Amino acid sequence: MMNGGRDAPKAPGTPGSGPILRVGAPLADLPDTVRQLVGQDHPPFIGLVVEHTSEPPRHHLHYVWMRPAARWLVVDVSVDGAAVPSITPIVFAADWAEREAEDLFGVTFAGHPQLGDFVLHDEDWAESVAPMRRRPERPTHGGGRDPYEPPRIVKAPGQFVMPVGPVFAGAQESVRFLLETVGEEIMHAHVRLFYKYRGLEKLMEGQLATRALLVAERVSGTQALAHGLAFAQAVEALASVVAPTRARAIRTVLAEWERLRSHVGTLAGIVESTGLSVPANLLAAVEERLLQLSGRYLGHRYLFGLVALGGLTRDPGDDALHALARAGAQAVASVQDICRRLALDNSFLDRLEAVGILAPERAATLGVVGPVGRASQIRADVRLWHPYAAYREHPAAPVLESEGDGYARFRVFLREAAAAMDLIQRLVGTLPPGPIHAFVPVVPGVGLSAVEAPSGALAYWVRVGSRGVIDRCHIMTPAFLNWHGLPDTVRDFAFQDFPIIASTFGLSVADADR
Amino acid sequence: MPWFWEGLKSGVRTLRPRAPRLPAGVTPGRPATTAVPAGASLDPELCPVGALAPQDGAIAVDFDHCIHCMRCRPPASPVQWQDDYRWALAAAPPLPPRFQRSIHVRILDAGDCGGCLSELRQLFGPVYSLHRYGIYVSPTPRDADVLLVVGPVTVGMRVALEETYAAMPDPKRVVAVGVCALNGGLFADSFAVVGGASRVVPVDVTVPGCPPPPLAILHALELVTGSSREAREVGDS
Amino acid sequence: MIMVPLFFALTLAAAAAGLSRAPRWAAPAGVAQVLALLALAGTVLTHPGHQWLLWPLAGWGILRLTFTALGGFLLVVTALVFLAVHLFAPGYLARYGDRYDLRPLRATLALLLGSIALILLAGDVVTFLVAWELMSVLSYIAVVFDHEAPENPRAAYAMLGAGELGFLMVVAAWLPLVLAAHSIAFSTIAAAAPARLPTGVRWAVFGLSLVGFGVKAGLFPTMSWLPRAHPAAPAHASAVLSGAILNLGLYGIILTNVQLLPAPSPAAGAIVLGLGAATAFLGILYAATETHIKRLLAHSSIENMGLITIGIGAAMTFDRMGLPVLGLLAWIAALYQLLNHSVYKTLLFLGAGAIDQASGELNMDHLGGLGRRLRWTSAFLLAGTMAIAAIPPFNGFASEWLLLQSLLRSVAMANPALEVAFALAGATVALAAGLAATAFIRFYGMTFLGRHRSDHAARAREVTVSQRAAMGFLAALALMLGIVPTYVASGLARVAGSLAQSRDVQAFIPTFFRPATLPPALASAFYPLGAALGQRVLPAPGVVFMHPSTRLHAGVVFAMSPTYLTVAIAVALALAFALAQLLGRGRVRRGHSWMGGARTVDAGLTYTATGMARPIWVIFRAVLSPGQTVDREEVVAEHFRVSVRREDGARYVVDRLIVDPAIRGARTLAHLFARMHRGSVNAYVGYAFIALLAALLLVRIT
Repeated sequence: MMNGGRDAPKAPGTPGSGPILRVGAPLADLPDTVRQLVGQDHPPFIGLVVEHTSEPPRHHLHYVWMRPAARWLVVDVSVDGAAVPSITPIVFAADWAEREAEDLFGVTFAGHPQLGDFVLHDEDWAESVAPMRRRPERPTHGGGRDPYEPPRIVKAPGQFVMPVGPVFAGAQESVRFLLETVGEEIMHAHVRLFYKYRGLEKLMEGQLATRALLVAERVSGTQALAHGLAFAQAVEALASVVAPTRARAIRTVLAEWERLRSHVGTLAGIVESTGLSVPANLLAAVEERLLQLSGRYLGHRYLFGLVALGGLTRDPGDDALHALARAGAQAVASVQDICRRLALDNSFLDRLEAVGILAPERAATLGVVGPVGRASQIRADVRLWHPYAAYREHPAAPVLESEGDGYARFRVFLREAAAAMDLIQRLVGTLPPGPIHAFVPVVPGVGLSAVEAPSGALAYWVRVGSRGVIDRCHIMTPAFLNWHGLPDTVRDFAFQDFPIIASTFGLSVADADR
Repeated sequence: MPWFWEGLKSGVRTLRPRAPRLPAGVTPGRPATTAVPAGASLDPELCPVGALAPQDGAIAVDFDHCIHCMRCRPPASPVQWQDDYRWALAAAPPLPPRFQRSIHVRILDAGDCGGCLSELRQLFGPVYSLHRYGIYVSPTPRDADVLLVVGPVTVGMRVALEETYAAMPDPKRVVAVGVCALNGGLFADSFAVVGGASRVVPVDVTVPGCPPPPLAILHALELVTGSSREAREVGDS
Repeated sequence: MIMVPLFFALTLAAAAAGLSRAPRWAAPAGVAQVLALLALAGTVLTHPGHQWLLWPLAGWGILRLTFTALGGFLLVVTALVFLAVHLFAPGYLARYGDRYDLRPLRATLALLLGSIALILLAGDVVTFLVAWELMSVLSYIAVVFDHEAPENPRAAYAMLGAGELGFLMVVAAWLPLVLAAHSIAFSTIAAAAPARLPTGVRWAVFGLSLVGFGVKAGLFPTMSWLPRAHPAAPAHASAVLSGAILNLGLYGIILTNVQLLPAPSPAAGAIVLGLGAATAFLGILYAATETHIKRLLAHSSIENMGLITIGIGAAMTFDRMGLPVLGLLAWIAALYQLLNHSVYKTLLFLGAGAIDQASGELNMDHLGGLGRRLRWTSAFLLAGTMAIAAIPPFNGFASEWLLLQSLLRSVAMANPALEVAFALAGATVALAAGLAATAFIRFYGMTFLGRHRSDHAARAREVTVSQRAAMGFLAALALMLGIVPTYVASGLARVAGSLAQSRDVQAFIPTFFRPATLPPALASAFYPLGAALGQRVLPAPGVVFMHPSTRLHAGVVFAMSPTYLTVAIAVALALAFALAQLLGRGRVRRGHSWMGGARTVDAGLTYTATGMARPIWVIFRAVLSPGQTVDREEVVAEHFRVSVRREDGARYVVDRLIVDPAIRGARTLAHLFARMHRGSVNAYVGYAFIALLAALLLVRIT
């Protein structure tokens, strides 16, 4: 049962980043309010949180933006079944967020031209499911419309759709690409996500935070630490608990270590997509080396189980962290060596330079974040704008490129991997002693927390209800934002460029599908 | 061409299976059945998923549910851990002997978080180099002998799993890789998840773990082919 | 000799039967006419040189018919085409019955056959030109028949206009011949004209006749009417246009430049060769990217005319360079290609008619999956596809291979310039063969295989028995002509011998089956290899094409036996089939296509003909459509592309680069002259004065 406090929402806290600017808007004024607040400088849109109350049946919508060195911006509206004016014409980045809200909650958005089949695929789910609404019964699938007909916008003699996926040849995540074409070059690309939709946000509802933390770690296994940290910070924030200094320092080491390993994996993927198998394998060997170091010094190859509410589950110890940093530095040196040689290889550069260009203005419009954004001059970085853990004392070195092509993204991943290693070495040299865990009481309320995951800004909106269990958890992931930028980037490139461009985005499907 | 020399210069990166000791971190290890003093109680905090249970004076581990949350790792807990990787269990006989020298596998992501898939990528990467065992990733299900399923089967991927299995020729085996593929894992209760792979297709070999390390998946493949290569070459380290 | 009046009498009878209100007599009368033509052709071939005098034309000789080997051969080819067409027509024309009166078309086709025969029998200039005009007008009527579609009358008019332009050039080319020989009889002209004409005039005759007849043969650069006109006609008329009438243009070129007035220099042969290469390249390039079946076939006809022209050019060059055996080889290759083209192109056009009749659709982007609905048609067209794509054992392979070999033998000429020209032509033939394979595999795959991409393709119905018989007859012919090419080549050598300076067909078909006539060196070298295989069964002197080197001392330049190849293919297929039966018995499992894990297979997710041709389009974009595609986008809600419309305004390359500028030039010139007509009396007086001065000067100089 939601309490009446919702109408005058209490500002949720975020750790170490000051308060949040919340702006309530009457429904009709939403577009004007949004235009006034973000229409000028287009700050990165992070997500749209929808909460549903059954009595009275209302949807509460919270649009979230991050802003440079300022407070988070949250615009709130509340609606009882009427259509919400779509803000997509103003903020194109909100396109998919609105589609998701429509699919999962049944909120209708007036002025959005592409609602329907998105999270819940038409062939599996009836149109009226709206599973995230508060209802006593469990949502069921079935009753969908079969067969699914892919959308088509290209009108040219002989046009057809080239389907790729959802099952691929190798160890690739399940997603479907529908490439509209008349042959050879892609005229329009549809990305059909959510084959892997696991309903995690619904699953977390009713769980204790300690249990939900385990789920959060497994939203995206390759960015487990970022998810665990973002969730833990949100719960800590709403309980107004700050993790001990040592825990925050080690959390930072772990976060940067995860960034390093993830970026090396992305680099290996990019090189592999260009067909250069020797450097691709050399980089893949480094990735496995980093995984083995994680397993050896941190206990788990993917850093599962390290983050606890209020700190860490255990302390790896100074010696292990020093050894980790030493071995990691060697690995990074070999990555830099390989990439130096790649930068001299024309057959490598030909496939990345001026391929898949995302111009800065377009990148801002599409709303990409993280390394993909930073390759197109989008400075957004949660570590710098809203420092958490130990980033205030140890700021990350900013990395920025402006070309926005595949090679710029490659360079950003490389430079960030090196910067992550530098930061780790600085941190392990100054590790403070002390406890690694603080008690976090169960407090009802809302916590909003964000971290800079390897692939970009990751935010959790966690509401703990009066019964002490999770009432609503919304996961705003960087992959969800960055997938939105991919289709535009591959336009007019040939089929064979598609996997290369996709690899330079370093996208995770699980992270978007949730 | 220069890359060819680079490759040669870089030397062998592949794990040497005959080495007396495997590098630390190749496997994260997992809890083992541990004898405890009679009457000792088990801290429920130790296992948030209830995979540990006292049984006949010992703590038994239910690997089908252990998700490697690491909470019971020593020294914080009385549970012993072991660094082995022979985690797989076969419920069906291996493929006929003619498959011992070479099998083609197909990987299906039925809703994976990316962990198991990443371990599979490592397994087929340079360090574990499965080609030397004659194990190849098949570009088409029509040539595949083994289906590796990772992740809980979501509603959206159920058809794809059925289709892939149907497209494979007989004889074939299905390996469920990771706890999620075994029974849905942490996601089993979700409305959008069907459950383990065995809800949709017959599963022959299971590898628990979250995620199972590459060598554990290799162990499963050896159970599929019936070869004892792993035992011969890797030895007891 | 009775056959001549009998045939023309039957022609009139067939025309009358066509015009009668009882259509049941039309087909038998047509078949009777064709059979008479076959008999006539037999007479012609057995009595070469015989003349049939008609009536005198005061002072200029006698109008006459002359029997020639080439004419007789083309009569046979024409008869084969018409035989299939007559079998096909009744079932096919039913679809036009409720919209048009079919009688004029039936009569037109009968008269058209008569006019073609008259052209091939004509022994003098006047008979030829009168018959030619008749043929032009009758083919115009055939093309304009289906006049409800607005583009058809325009296409027919373009054909007629271009043809008349060509006719004028032919008249201009022949005028000096007639004046020089002071006779209209071809025999007199051939005997007298070459010696009496200066080289400049001979070049003019060569050029004018090449372009003038080239219009009708669809040669570069005057073929832009063809891909418009041939598809416009009903399919069986298209078959006649492509299978019989195009040949007449080539006949005219050979008649003028080989029989009447041999080319002035070897360079003339090289020019013909180059023209043929350009024609073949553009023809196949457009065929490989076209999606409308009949237009594809029309472009392919251009390609085949180019290939034959290459052979004619090569033969003319070899003859002039004193290489009679190679000349004979090139003539045989050219005539063989001509025969093959008539057979498979007629088959394919009739097939296009069957597809149109069955599905109402000729755009391959909207077809697909017809193989399951039209089992017979698809089987026969598979034969036609393999034949035109030069895949053994069908006939296209034998002739294209001979053509390529004759080009490669250009080293024997020891003339670098000609060798380069031949090498380039050879490369064009090879490229054309490759592109033809892609074009026709695409045609077959996109039409008959896969899933249907439209509802009418899904509802297609098989055509009538006599229509299937027509296609089956041609398919069998295509196979036969491919299996025993040495027989065909030996037969063609009689025709080619009348054009070439050698009849020594044994120079490249060794008589392995008649050891007595075989050089002992060949016998000892090749009998151990099995060159006498089949000696007891096959009546021919041999089934191997082989050319021993003339310049090098030892070795064989080329050797090939499509007959043995056929046997090998048959054995391999039988083995494969047996193995599949043996190993796969009872283990066949049927499933649906793998769609990447998705269950629903939508035809919209499969390749279209356009998409399949796209790589070729991209490579040759500079020729096909330089910068002429425009994408128009429609965007809603600021950011959402809801439609992208692509328009390709590409114009046919010959129109773009030659015809349009020529028309613009003519207009500019006309405007210039128009400006002279300002109505000022003074200006007119000035013009008259200048003209008078010029005339006086001219008289003074000469």
